[in-house]
Amino acid sequence: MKTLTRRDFLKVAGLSTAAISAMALAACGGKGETGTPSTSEPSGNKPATAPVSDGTTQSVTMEQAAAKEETWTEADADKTVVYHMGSTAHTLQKWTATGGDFLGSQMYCVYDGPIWVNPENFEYENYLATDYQLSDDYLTCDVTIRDDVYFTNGVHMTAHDLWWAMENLRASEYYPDGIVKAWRPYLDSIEETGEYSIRIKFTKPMPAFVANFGASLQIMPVETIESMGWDAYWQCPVGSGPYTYDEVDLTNSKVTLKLREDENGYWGYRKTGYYTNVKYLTFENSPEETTRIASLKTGEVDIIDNVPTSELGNLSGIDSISVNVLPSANQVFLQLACGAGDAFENKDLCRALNYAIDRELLVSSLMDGFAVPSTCGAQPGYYGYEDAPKYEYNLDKAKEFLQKANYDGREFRLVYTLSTVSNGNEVAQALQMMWQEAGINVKLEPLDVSLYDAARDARDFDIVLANIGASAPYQRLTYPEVIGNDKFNTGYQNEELRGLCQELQITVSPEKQTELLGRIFEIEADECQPNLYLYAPQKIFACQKNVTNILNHNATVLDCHAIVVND
Amino acid sequence: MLRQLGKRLIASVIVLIAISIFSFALVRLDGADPARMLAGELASDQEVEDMRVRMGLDKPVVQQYLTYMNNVLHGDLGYSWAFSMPVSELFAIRIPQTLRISVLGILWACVFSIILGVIAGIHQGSGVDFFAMFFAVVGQSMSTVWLGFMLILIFAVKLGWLPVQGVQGARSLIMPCLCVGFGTAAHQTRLMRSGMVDVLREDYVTATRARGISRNKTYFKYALKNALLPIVTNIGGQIGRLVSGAVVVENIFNLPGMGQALITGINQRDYQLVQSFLLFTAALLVVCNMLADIVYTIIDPRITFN
Repeated sequence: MKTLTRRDFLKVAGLSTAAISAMALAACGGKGETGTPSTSEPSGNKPATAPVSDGTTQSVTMEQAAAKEETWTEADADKTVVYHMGSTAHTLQKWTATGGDFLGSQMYCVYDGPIWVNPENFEYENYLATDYQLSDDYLTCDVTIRDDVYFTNGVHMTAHDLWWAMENLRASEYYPDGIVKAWRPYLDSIEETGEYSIRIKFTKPMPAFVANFGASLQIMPVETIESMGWDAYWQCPVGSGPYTYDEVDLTNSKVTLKLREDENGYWGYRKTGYYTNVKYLTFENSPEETTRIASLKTGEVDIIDNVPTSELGNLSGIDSISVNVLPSANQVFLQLACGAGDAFENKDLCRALNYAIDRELLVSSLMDGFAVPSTCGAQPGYYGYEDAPKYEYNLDKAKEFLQKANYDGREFRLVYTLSTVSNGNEVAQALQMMWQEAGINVKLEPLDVSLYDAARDARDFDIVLANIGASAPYQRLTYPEVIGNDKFNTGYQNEELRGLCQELQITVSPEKQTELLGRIFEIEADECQPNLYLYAPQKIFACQKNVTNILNHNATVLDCHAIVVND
Repeated sequence: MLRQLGKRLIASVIVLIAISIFSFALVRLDGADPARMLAGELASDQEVEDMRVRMGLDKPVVQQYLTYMNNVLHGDLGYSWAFSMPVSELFAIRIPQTLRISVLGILWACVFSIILGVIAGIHQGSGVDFFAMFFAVVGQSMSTVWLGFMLILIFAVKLGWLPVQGVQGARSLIMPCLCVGFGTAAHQTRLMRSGMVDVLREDYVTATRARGISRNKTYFKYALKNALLPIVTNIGGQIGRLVSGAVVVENIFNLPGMGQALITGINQRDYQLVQSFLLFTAALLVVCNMLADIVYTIIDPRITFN
């Protein structure tokens, strides 16, 4: 064998390194697309006028669907769709799971709710319910459901099933209070008033009642549960939706649904005109976003969610993939420790923090425009937004307030976790630099989620970078809960604000809610306590271009019950 | 030898007890409250307290440890709160996957590194030798995460030869195994090569050749055996690295093994799952090291077990 000189070795090594580098660069996105995503524009700077999606979530029109009605049967469905997501669940019980999107998406396929948000116009509409009437004092609701609905195991749905689902939420040994907090305190009694009707009595007006009356209610056949037993039932539960559980592997967070084949068929398709040609629908956890994206590119997977904005340029250059933006349903915000003796007891200090934050810059540089800057506590289009005073970026004012507060240069602790704000490191560093420019010293403390929770519980922080779900139905409840009851333990004391929040909690009228929220935001914007809102991130999902009819009900969860795969 | 083996076993048990105490304390050191995490953010204090009682966390720490160890000795590894199932059941489901990629990873690493190291050692200064050294340097300095994503992008996305993720037959194991064993292969190639170079300089090798014994017989019957000793030592110590590598690799390739479960367990402060996994890994390491010692005595009769 020929002996190589050192020079030869360097040649070989150099060539090998070059080859590896070239392959790596090519693999990293050889086309080098760096342009703006073509499929959907970021809506960060385009405030919506109503709580609707600015994205391009695809949905078939009713005319198209109706055209298929004459010929379509379940037997025609023969396609398979694989949906990879970044969340897990280890039980199929919605109320006990921490499954997030993993179970959320399945809810639309397996269960039906009395009410749904129409994906075409985002209006609340009857779904299972044929009628519901709220009394003038908002304390009683009469609900009548359809008489032609069958569960996938052939059991006919009656009012008893709806009664049972709600009775479980009202007083059940199965769910702790904390889990059904959105329901239990409001439910006084539920009674069956007919074969297909129930009457719900509330202990106090429940503003979010209609919103909560959706598919997440999990209406189940009572006789099946009674014959199988609670635990056995949850091994393979049934609902009245278009799909049934076919394979369930919760240890690995993988579930395959199969289109129902019973003689009754899915009643919902007749009502809405939507249809599907997908027989098998697989939901699977895939923890690494890079792996999810690679799988979508190779066609192993049809839908992925939580696409990082940094990948959008690359993905939108691929003809076979479409990128979609869902409406904002979360707020990334700062929570300040502002109780007696806390770091931010002084309101001027809070104001200084606030004026030093350039929210537009955060959104454009860290979110690539795929977020809505929070100019007040509400998002554009929601109650109270129009009249609320808007945040302002003004470094001079920040310095002025800092002086007024006699800031002595002490270092504040900003705690955060990547579990709730995935780009928390970047956001926290950006904030740190912005504050530094104003002369405020902040130390960053990234924590894992359990320590983060513990720090919040013990008010062992000066500032918390947090994220809160504030989707349309819940935003009205977010303020009473978070601010009025000081849910996240900021120590904030303001009797007026607390009173307003408590009033809001039992207010149903939209006009009154708008008025109350306007006042709440006014106080918050003036005092800059207890929260400073930063931006509302938008959720991005991507799918193969031939996959259409993914519905969205103005939430971050996708509804695949009428999904279509085009040849 | 049996007596020495008995001594080693006793020492191993002491090591395992120490590790069980260490792992028990370690998961509790951060002060997080698993009862709060399981009960949920909105749970009341009473509900959190009830959860704490149900999880057995209301008892004194020493009692918790003794109960846990008593259960372990009776084959009960505890209950995973995160997965809502006994830990032993979870292990039965997940560990085969982790072992599959770990064992296959170390197998290819051993075969490849021994062959490459021997050839490089014999042909010192040749192209193969340079390639081996280059591979050793690059392989040891390469991050598993980076390598994993590069393999995916090259072999799955660009070339379309292999599936990106999941368990889809033998093909889906190729990239994870390559990834798991890469660092080990690089390290062992270097050991094997230098071992071979050293051994070939020994007088007995020269003497063997002088006695007219063929080159191949000298290399493979006499030299290789001695050169293998560092490799055997290394394999025993590599088990921990392989398992930790598998944790990363399973996440990248979405393989439902113990690595993914461990990350869930750590994030959710699933004490019994994490403790049992640490204990299991430690036991594996102890057993592998002991096996390595036994193999020593077989390869080189001059070495005794004590």
